Amino acid sequence: MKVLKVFLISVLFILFTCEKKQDEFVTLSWWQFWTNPEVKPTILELIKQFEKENPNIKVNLTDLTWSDGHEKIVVAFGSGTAPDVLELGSDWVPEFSYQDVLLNVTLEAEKIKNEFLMWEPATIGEEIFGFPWILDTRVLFYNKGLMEKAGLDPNKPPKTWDEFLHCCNAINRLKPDAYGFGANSAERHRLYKKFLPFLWANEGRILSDDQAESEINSREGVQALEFYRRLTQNGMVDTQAMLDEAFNHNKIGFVISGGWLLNDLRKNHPEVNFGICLMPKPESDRGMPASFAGGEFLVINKKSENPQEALKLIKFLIHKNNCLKVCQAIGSGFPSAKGAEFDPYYRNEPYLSTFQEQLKYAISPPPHPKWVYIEEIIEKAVEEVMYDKKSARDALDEAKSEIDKLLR
Amino acid sequence: MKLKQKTTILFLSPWILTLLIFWLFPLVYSLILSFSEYNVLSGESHFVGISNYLELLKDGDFWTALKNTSFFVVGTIPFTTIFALILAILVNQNIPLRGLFRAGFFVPSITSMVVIALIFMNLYAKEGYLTFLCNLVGAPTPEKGWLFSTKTALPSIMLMDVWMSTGFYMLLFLAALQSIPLELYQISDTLGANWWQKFRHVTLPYLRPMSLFVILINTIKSFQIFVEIFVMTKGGPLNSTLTMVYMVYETGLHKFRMGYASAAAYVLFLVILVLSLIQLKLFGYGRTVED
Repeated sequence: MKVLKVFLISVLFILFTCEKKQDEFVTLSWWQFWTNPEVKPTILELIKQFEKENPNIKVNLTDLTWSDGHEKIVVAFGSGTAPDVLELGSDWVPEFSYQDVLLNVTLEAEKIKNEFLMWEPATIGEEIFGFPWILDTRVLFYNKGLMEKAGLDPNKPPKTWDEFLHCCNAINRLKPDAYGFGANSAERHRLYKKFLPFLWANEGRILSDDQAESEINSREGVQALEFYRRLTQNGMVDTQAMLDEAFNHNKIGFVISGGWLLNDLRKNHPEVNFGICLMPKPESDRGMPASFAGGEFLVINKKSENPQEALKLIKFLIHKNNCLKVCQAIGSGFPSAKGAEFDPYYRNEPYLSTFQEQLKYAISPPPHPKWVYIEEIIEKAVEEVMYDKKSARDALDEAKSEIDKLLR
Repeated sequence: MKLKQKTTILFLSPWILTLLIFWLFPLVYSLILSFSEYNVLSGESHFVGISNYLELLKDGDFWTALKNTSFFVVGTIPFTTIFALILAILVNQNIPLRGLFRAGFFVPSITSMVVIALIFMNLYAKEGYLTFLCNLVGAPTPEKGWLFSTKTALPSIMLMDVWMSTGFYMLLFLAALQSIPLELYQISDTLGANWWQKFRHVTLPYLRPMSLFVILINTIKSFQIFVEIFVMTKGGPLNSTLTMVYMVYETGLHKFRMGYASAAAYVLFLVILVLSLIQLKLFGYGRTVED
């Protein structure tokens, strides 16, 4: 009898341990950029909830900053110490996808593709390398007080390029008290994001459909760059951070910026009388109010040992309700899940409806393995025109021939 | 091996290991990399001979970077050294609040580079204090702000660099000044020497080793200028502030071409090496005061 008991207990023990083995404990590492005290608690709360729902998974969170996050990620991939899950800015997703360090998630993504928006930056050909998480874009901020001072109607923000230029010019006459347009200086990896929306608005394109040649020097492109030059001449040139700061202090009439400026204005500068509107169109009956598609993506390291668990975490994070919590904490941005915009939170937010409308016209650059070089060529052309070294036509003709050389 | 030797090696090992792993190994490895095409992300690497170096010769950006960096070095070191020497002599006198001045001049060199850069970005802004001061005296100001005009961007950063690093070299000169025996000045006084003669024949000879050290490390440091550029201008406008290390950074970490970046870094290394040797020769390294 006793022998039987011992036998039974040992069998049960073995079964028990086997069971345990199948449900092995997994630690996932996740690198993300939400470090500010308004958002971080929400992220931590979501992780706690996720760990509760998946008791076999523990999430190890590491914070990155936008100033050196890119380098840290590059070094981590290079040295094989990259985490399982990463948050990437929309412009980085194609960059890392082409370097073959991200897990191809096409199969999983196809299943939920129809429920989410903005797959373009993560899609290369037919393959998908990441999941859209938080959508964001840039809108036009205008200072109502300055518009009034310049004799403009503060309730009628510019809708077309002509009106835009007229407004900037009128406010710029107030200098040195105020300047018209806040133009980005030659900041690498940023200036192109400011110029391209005008190109897209004017129905211009950077590359042809088959990506065999550049179309940047089309009539539309030249018009757009010429318009951009005139804009920058009716304003001041500085870095994005300094422009945002200048807008906060009633120093510039117009600036193209994102949700971060909206939060800063509402929280720290209630005295600034401002409004936001869609980017102006080339003409009232032509073109579109295009803007740059920003946003956050979640990707999986190709070398992750726990891709299934990583996928689980991503699906949890991009879930409409969970993502909405993060967006509410940020104060701007939209969940990538379709239908989130109908949430009561957005209905009661006057500013966010503009962002939402702008998102419909948000465009991202065509994914290309040599994008970082193309970007450099475009920025050089824009700079040359901003600094009157070349005409828009000459600068873009040269840019085209340089891009064509790359594409060959 | 004697026990004493073993202990010595054991106690030195943390430093020696750090030197080998984090300094000497990367140094040699990057030399190998400069002869290969190496993508840091994919890990792909293949030998390409000297083609990276040949490409550098044809790269307009490289020459711009080399020119800007040289301009930066030549334009800052004389000022930094002379100001540092003058300040050191001044705070070496018996003046009231001497400690406060010494500390005050030194503060910029221990302040975070990023913080200083942000402060100066405000000073140099289109509506900043520098423009304000220029307007007061009727001096011309650049149309786009000091950091965003091709002519003033690099000089503005150089001015900031002189302001920032003078304090550190002042401290070095101060240390050297205090090591000069007082008797020499007393003897000079009895011989009826004026202040210039004392400076020329007592102070300067004693300062020679320190001057060499100051100029040498300042040259090395100035050739490696990066943070200021990274924070303030990112090489712009129109590459007018593109420096060697910033170019290396862009090439390696944004274009992922570590081999090409290493080749550029090695050219920089050679430039610094040759200049350092010339300086050592000019200053007569190894000579003593009495020579």
